[in-house]
Amino acid sequence: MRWASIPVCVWLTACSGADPGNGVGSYMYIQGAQFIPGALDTQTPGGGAASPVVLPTSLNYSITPGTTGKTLAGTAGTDATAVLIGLVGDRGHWVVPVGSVDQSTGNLTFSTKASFAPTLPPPPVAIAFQAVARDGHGGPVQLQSFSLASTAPQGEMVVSLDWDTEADLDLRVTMPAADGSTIEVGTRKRTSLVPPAPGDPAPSDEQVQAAAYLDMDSNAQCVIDGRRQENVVWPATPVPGLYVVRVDTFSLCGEAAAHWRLRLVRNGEEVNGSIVSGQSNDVDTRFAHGAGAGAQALVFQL
Amino acid sequence: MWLGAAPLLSPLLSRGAFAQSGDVAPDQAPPTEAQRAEAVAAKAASATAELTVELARQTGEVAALRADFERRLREEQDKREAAIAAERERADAALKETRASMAWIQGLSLGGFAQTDLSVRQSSSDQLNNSTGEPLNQNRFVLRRARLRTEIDRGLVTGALELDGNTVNGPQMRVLNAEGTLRIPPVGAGPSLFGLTVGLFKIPFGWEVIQSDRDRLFLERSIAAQELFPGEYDLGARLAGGWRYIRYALAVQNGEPIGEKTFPVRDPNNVKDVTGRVGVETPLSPAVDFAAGFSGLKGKGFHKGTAATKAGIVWNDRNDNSSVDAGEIVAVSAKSATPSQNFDRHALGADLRVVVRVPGLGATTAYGEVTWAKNLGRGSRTIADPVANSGQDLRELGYYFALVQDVGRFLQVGLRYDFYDPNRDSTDLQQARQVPSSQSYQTWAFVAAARIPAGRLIAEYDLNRNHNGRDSAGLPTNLADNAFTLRAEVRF
Repeated sequence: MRWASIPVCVWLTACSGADPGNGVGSYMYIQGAQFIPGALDTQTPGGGAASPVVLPTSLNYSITPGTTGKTLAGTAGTDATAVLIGLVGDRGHWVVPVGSVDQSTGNLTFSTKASFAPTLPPPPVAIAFQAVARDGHGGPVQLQSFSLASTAPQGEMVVSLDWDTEADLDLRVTMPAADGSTIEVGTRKRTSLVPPAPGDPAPSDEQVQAAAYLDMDSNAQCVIDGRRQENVVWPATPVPGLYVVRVDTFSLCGEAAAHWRLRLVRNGEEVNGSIVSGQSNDVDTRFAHGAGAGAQALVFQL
Repeated sequence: MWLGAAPLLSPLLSRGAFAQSGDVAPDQAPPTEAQRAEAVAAKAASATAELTVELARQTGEVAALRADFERRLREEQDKREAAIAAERERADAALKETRASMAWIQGLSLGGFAQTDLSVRQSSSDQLNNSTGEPLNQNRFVLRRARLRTEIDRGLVTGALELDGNTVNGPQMRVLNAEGTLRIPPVGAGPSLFGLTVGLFKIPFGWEVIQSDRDRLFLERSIAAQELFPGEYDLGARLAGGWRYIRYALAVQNGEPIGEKTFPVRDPNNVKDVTGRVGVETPLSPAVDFAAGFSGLKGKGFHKGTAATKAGIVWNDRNDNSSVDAGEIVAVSAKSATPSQNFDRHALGADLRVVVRVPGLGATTAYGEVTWAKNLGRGSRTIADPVANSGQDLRELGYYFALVQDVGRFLQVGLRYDFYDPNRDSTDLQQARQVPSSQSYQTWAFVAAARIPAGRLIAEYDLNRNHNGRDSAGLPTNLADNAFTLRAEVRF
């Protein structure tokens, strides 16, 4: 009987210890903190007279999906050793040890930076905080509501390109100009404004504000910024005519390939049937990268 | 026999020696009995004489034939002996020529082995390391070691060259061991009195570092050996030898072993590490062997300086609203370079090994080692850098003990406990107070192996304990990291 219990003991011993999963797949991610699978229990009232109390604070009660480095801070009772933080509806929560003493209140402070997945649960979004004492006894759970900021590019019309690996892809849009000619907006010419001829007046503020522009050259020259998204934005009503959108693979920056997705957004709404996807391979980097370069991905008429 | 006698009888038959007595002419008087007997005798005498002549003639022919046959046989034998002698002479000449051309191969030996692992580890994850981009999955097949080693022994001079291939961090091939030794005296049983070695060789510290990977039952060395002497090999010069039961080794090396992370087998400072071991190795009885020793190391580590930075402008989204607001764009001034610095490091160690041969069972080997060190951690867990650690030294402690038991010729089992603390003065911030804590690692390794001369099949379960996790109260706890590994090894 004693011999029979040995495999069981070994198995139980093997399962002890904190979960080694790093929680990367969860909605909220706190680098360097311990991840515990399972959501925080927000239903059972915790606490008691001796239970540590947490008071979360935030600089801004809004979460932008896909953002990183959002500060989650606050204070906890003097008997707290850590604060458990979890996004309601997430698959786990995080353990953040308390730090120094708040000189004004005498409580213990905590502060951490959180990252959020590009796709979050539908509103209302709330983050649960719970202070925990040394014996593991938890205090009352504090729910802090957050609003979800829109990630859609703002403008009358937006052509958006995003991709999955740290490659340098460029978005180029050839569009009609007001004088009937065509003009390309991309990494080489980032706005649809035409430089005035010598002697002509400079563009007005209204013209500058209304001109289409490329918001960012992501991973330019393989200086990796991790954004992997570029948008051409029309703040005002675009000029009618033929629009040609190209995806230029400037460099894969050592990646094997890049899967990209192109979207056309009008007034914050995706245009039905406008989503185009494709793949950039090494052969796509070998062509010229000047004006008109890149694979033609989307053509539409306004 | 009957056919052979026929020629001898034929004259008798042809001459009617046995004619009937009635063959007499009618006008003659019948011969008398005496006459007939005389005639018969005369005929018989005549026939006998003829037969004698014939026999003599045939005997002569046979003798001539025999003489001719023997002459031819002798000629043939002479020809054959001459041909064999010529062939032997040619083979001897070819052998001499071959020996002359292959003289360099004398004393040369070639060997090697390959170890392929199938690992299953609790801390494995189907993600990438954010900082390095390396896969975190550890449940995989891996070619742990593929070694090809050649050695040469020319008496006064010996040498070795060993290449290692593996797929631990992707496929790679590297020089692992390249050394030449001048030894005095050049031959003899056991180690020479003096041996001066130059090249890339193992750091002579303790027992486990210098133990061969093909001899060790446990899949890897203890954590202390991996952290304090990562890769085991370093470049330098060594004086080593032995007299009777005494063994010694003293080495001067770069101080950056081949498994070190920043400058492997290079040397960023001009101070060399001095390592040495002195010990005994002797049989206590026909069934018991004993070995023990003390080791020491003294050297200097290197702290990398930093380059100067340019001035710049940084947007700090202080209110987390993803918009540029007043006061959020700040100027960051340029920063001057900081110089590199050296720091002291040292280690002391003691090792003990006892082998008892049990008749009918095999050898029982018990061994252990303890190491005290300061600022020597160079592995993958905690790199000792007191300059970066606010000037505070990191004091390491590592030890292990192991028991290996042969079970007949084909089985071997073992058990090992090892402990390593990369910083005996570590603290943890708990409730706004710095309290002493531990960063130690402990492992119980259970291993069994089936072995034949051509290879081994080894199964090992590692019960790992550490302080890398946090429990729900935020206190340090074990981060589950147990592992099971199955290794197939072939050797030649």
